[in-house]
Amino acid sequence: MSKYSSSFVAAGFVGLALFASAANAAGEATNVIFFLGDGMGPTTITASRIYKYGEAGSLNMDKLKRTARIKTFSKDAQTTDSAPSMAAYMTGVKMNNEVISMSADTVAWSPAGVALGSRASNTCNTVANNGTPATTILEQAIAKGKATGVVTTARLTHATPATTYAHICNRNAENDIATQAVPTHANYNKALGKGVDILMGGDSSYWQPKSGSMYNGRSDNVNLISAMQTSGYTYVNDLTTFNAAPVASGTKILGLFDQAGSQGHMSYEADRDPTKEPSLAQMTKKAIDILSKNSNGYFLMVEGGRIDHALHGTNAYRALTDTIAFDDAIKVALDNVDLSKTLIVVTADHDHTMAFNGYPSLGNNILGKADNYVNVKKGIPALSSGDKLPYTTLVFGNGSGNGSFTANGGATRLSTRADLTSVDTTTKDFNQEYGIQTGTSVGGETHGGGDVMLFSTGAGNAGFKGTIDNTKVYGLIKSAFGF
Amino acid sequence: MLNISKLLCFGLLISSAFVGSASAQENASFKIDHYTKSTGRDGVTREITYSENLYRNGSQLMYVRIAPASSGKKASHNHRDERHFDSSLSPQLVTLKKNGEVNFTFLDLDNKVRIEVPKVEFNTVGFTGSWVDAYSLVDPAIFKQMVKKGPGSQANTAWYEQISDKGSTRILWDEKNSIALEVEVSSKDGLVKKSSKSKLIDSNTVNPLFASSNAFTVKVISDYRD
Repeated sequence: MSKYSSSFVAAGFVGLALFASAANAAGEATNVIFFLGDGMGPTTITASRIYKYGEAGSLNMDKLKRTARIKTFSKDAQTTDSAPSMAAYMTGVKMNNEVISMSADTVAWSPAGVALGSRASNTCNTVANNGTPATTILEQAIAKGKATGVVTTARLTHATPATTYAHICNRNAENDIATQAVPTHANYNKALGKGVDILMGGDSSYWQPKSGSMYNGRSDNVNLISAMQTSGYTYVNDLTTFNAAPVASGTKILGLFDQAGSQGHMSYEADRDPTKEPSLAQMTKKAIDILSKNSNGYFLMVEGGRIDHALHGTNAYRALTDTIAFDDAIKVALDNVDLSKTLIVVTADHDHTMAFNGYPSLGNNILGKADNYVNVKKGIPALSSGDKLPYTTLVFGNGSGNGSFTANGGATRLSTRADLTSVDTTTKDFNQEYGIQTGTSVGGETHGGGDVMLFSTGAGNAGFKGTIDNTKVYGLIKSAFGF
Repeated sequence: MLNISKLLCFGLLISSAFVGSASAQENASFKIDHYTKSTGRDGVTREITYSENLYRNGSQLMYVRIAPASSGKKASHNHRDERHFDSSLSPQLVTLKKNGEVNFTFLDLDNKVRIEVPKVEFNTVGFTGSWVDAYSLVDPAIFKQMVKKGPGSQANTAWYEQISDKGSTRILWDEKNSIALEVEVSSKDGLVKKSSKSKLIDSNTVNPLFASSNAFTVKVISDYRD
């Protein structure tokens, strides 16, 4: 990897600090675990806390020593997508939306019919000199002899995990992204040395040709799973093979879980069959067990990838339960590492438009209809809006339910507001109401451009404070590692 | 597609039982006009109308929203914007599989892409998951809970009615075509009125998009979530 930008220079921004000051005790951390809750904005964190632990309770991430606010804008958008925001954490470079760990000048080129969810080759070279790879913290860890791992509930080729091990102008060329992790493939990212030790996530369809019940497969009919096995990886694809995989030093694992089928990722926690599919916490534990055997330390990225997908669907239940599963994985890490040698960072790549609505009384079900702390004292069960219809505490700024009624009394955007009086809004399939109909987007509700939270603890956490740009987080991790 | 069964919220319990496609008019197509008039307690009255075509093709259905002529085609070839094609105007394909499962698919005509929506995501795109709802607009099982009020003006049609403490529902059922020709729902306070009217426009012509879309590239809705 030839270069990375040490800052972004655009629109008058000059030289954001990437390298923490000496006061940050450079080199304290032998190990770094970076937790990324995809789309886990401040409201999602608060709502998840109330859902599981009550208003006065605490998530595991709440208990970490230090807290910061993170600016998430990308080089070309107020509201980022996961690619440049996670890439900013991993490389320190402010890049354009959709770009995966490339230099700031890279254009996310994707002509129609090729890019989105494409199984065809990327078209990055459609324009000449379209950027250069930006070195990732994972690559630097490998160069320093550390073990590395990437664990996610999204598919392994999705934007967040891809930013750790791949470089490409557009996140949607996932066929190509997969090849960059395969040591024997011509597209292999040689900065990965002998390869990322632990790769676990959803969806094998970008790794092998379509067969059997697979909903899709590689268009080039190349079997990357076999290639990875040839390179020494143990392949796991369900809980049985996952549990059977060794944890000895030097073990390499490729885990691709297809239990959620055409959802294209691992299952939402609310739908996961615990007898067939590992949880994020189980995958985190397995990864730590293996990586911690490396005497030079390790870098591990853990993503709660499906928080974001549930929020896109204005489905608060699944968003909150996936956030809890993500938080449980943090607990596993805290219980299994030596914080005097290990830095733990927990953050999100961007916000969503979910809002905390009304004046519900203390103890009101966070997924329920907003009562009113005054009315409750008078025995009035639910606060009515101006049209005298009840509403839920959690609502969204926008969404794309296509104007239809939904199953189980859901209340996505309707021609008139639904009467939720007799609807149980706390079920997993209830979709919250939203304000703006984004009818032009099948992707559903949009990301939000607000700041996100960052929590940290352990070795080298001192610099993670204040309101900082997402690119600065990279410098702080790098400094903690002593790179 | 508006799932009319969910409009029948004034005292009716909707059966989700699968009853199959019993109609002889399995290749029929219909134009459906939807109308809603609601007056809020704030005194503001809102009226909403839109139309769509329903095409049947054996074990497949397709709903196509009728856009106003002046709306034009949305450009979707911007190098960044494939993710944001117009889902509300995109044809929606519903397929009944032999095992009774129902598939839901958006058709992106500009990019020739079939976008599969897994069952767990049906709610997020406003689909109930019921083949019968999609095929007939209402599940005829609900007539057991309604009063048959007599024949309609056309042969093989009949009116059904239910009045509850929340309002009234009237349905004109076309037995031959297995479809609700009219659905009228009114709240008891008169503040909300909704109706849907269906009209047979063809009995035999299969929309060619059923066949041509088989050659489209297959993607899944998760590909569109960033």
